[in-house]
Amino acid sequence: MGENSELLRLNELCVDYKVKDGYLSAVRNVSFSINRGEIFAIVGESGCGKSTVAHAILKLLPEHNEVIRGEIWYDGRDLNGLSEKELEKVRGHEIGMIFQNPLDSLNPVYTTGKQVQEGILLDNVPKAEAWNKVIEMYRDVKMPDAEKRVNSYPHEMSGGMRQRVMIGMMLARNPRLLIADEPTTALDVTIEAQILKLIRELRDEHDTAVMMITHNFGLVSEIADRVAVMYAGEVVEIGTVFDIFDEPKHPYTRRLMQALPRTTKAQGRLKTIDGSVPRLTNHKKGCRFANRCAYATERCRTEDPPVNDVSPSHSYRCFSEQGVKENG
Amino acid sequence: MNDSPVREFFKTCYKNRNFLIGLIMVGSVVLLAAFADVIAPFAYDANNPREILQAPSMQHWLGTDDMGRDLFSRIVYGTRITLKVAVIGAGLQLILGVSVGLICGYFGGAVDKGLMFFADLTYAIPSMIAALAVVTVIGSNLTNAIIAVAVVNWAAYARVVRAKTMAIKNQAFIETGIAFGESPLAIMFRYILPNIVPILIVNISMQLPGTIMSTTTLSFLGVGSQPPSPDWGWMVSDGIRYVSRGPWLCIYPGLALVYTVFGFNIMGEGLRDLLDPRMKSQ
Amino acid sequence: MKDYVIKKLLLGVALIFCVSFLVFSMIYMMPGDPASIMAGQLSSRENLEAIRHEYGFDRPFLVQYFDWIRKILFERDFGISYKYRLPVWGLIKTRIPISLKLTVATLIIENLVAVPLGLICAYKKDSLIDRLAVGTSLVLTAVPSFWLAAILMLVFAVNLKLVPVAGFESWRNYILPIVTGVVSGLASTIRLTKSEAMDALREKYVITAYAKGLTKRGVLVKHVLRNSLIIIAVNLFLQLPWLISGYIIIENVFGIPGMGNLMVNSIVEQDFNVIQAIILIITTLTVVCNILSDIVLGILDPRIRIAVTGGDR
Repeated sequence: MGENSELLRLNELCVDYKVKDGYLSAVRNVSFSINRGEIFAIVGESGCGKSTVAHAILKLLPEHNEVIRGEIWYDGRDLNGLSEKELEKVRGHEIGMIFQNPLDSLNPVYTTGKQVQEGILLDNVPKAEAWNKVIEMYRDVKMPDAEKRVNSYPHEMSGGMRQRVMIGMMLARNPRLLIADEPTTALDVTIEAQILKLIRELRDEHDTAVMMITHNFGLVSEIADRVAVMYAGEVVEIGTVFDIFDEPKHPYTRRLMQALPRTTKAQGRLKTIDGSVPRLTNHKKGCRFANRCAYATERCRTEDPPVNDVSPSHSYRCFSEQGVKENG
Repeated sequence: MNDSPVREFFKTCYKNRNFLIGLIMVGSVVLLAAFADVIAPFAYDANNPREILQAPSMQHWLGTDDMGRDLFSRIVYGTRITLKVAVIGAGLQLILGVSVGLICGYFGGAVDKGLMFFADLTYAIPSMIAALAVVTVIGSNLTNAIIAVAVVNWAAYARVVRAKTMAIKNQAFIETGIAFGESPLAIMFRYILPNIVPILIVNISMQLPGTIMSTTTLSFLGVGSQPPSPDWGWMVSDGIRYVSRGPWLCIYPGLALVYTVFGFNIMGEGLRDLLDPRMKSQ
Repeated sequence: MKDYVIKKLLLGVALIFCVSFLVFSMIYMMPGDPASIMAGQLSSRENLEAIRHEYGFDRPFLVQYFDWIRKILFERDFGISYKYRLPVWGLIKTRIPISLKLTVATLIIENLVAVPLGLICAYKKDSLIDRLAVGTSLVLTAVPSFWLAAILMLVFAVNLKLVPVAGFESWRNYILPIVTGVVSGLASTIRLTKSEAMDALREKYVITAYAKGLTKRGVLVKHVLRNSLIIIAVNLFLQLPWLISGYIIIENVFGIPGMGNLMVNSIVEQDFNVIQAIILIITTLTVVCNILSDIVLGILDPRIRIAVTGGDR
């Protein structure tokens, strides 16, 4: 992971949703970078904004009522400054994306092969050649009976097969970054393991970076190189998988780690913590975790906490400078 | 803060402009019907051979028809017919639909299948054709037209009530009722029905405009209200014969109908938003 | 797909059978006995007896029913019209094409106007066009077609004299009826198209299509439009029978000699065989349209095709 291999850098990314009575700050000041060929995980409870970050990178937020501020540097360009036309050339070609529920994410009226081919055709490939490429992709993602399955409709496939189709579809144009938004949440444990293995193998083969969005810490330890922990729209801690698992600093991360027996998938899910995630109205100062934090002081509620660096790879956002003591 | 339910109601009414406007429009029709004798300057069947087909004037605000009857008075009295259609029509559909729905939902099985077959049948035949068929069998007059429209349109209520009954039937308080030895009839009317009332109100208000429209159309075709009754549908039909000599004869009764139906329409939409926020989308 | 079509066809035949049975029983549900209904009130007792025998009312009910069906199916014999003293089929034969031509023309024009409008409303929600369309359709749903017909006639035929008031000789006579039909149907089709397209716009596969790199136009045409077309196409077939019954009213206003006009006159005149025949024809047409819409649905939506033939139902 050399200095020059940086592929994506988010700088102070903020996403606000326009709602009836003002703005809802779904993502605030998120900054991190992803290197070539790296698997980077964003982990957090549902509703913490991790999915919004993923969708904001390609401006794929479905409701079209969002305001994106900050910089999204990819390969020397700020994606946030691109026009819709320019973004169309980035999507699929430079950055691919797969989603949580592969059944909803595939159009029910076309065969899966047609939908994969549709993407390949954008690169001005002749139809027959594109079709061969589809079959090749199906083999790449380890689809059983690839030649037959290209003619299957989404509802004729199992969940695992559909996710394989999605992966194949998004890798067919050789993007350098694959954003995977909870790709295994809708699948059972054995299929999940297969899909994760597939993603890792494809990364090794094509040197594709992967941004993995998940709420499952167990999955993070299995697959990720580096991790960002998100809470209520903010990155509270970021580091290598060893940093986070061996030396968690932020009270939130620590609570999560304590609640983590790493045996099965179900147990690997984040335990809920007392208290509720605050309503994310805009421009409210203070640490967003304060109301659930055992160490919170008056200062935590009134001022924004600073970012502390533990090492070049590891930082967290809290007033407590040494991080929370063990046994906290 | 003192938020009595009544104040709360008025507050939501104020916020929900559709309901408010609809209520005012329908309310004005109800007032016209109630005070028709006071408001209308003439009787609805007062012929006057010397004032045939007169254009709107100070004396006859909306003109007179081919028998010299005052159009304004006839339209005012017509509100009574329209409201009668609305009330009796909705009532009949409710009685039919709710009983079938309750029975189907509560007992299920063959009874359910048999009755729902008839409900499906009413969907398979265009309602105007079916209503005309019923009128053919039972004869042409206003009451029969109302019955015909009810026979054709009860199924929507039956479906809603059936689905709701099925959902409620398995809840604990019903089983408690059964354990206390309540009869099926008591369970249906005292335990299940009260839970269905809100959704029924929404459904009534959504169906009312259609009921008024269909019944008036039957009168227009000459198989509903018979002359000299001041039915708006019949009046438009009569007016078309004098479309060049007395255009007001078909314009104003129709306008009255549009006003009433539109009022019921947006009142229904407002009511749906108030009572059933889940149905609001779109 | 073949199994699916056969299944739908069998269901349709069963439905037509039920309806025909109901239509036939109509005369027995009416007050008074069939012979006197057929002959009118003025017939003498001997005359009634003769009619009863001639028309076979003295035979068992089911025998009569099957004989009635047999005659219709194999001899196109719907009986005799009492008013016109002519075979019913001869009377209806000339009117079916008139009604069908009008309804099909209306259907095509209405959808050509309403579907693009609905799509625009969905895509540019809350724009001026959308608000205008929504407002107009809200008002239109409160306008009965008979009054709309009357007003159109008043404005364009009586006052502006652009088209003839009544008659059916030239194509110009058909303009106002078709406009009435189109306008009456607009609101519901716009609303349906809009809600379908908005549902499709919200689907996750639309996001996938964008993520793949498709252009906005590509996504809108290949995914949003293609998928909302399923219901729009189905609706096209489902609308036809309702339009035909809607034309009962319009034919009546403009004096067009179609089936609807004949039906209303026959009800007023108690011309029973004619009423029976028209109800049977229109309901059969309805069932056929329903089957066609199911087949179109099967062609356009692979989920249905497979669910019905391969599923557990």
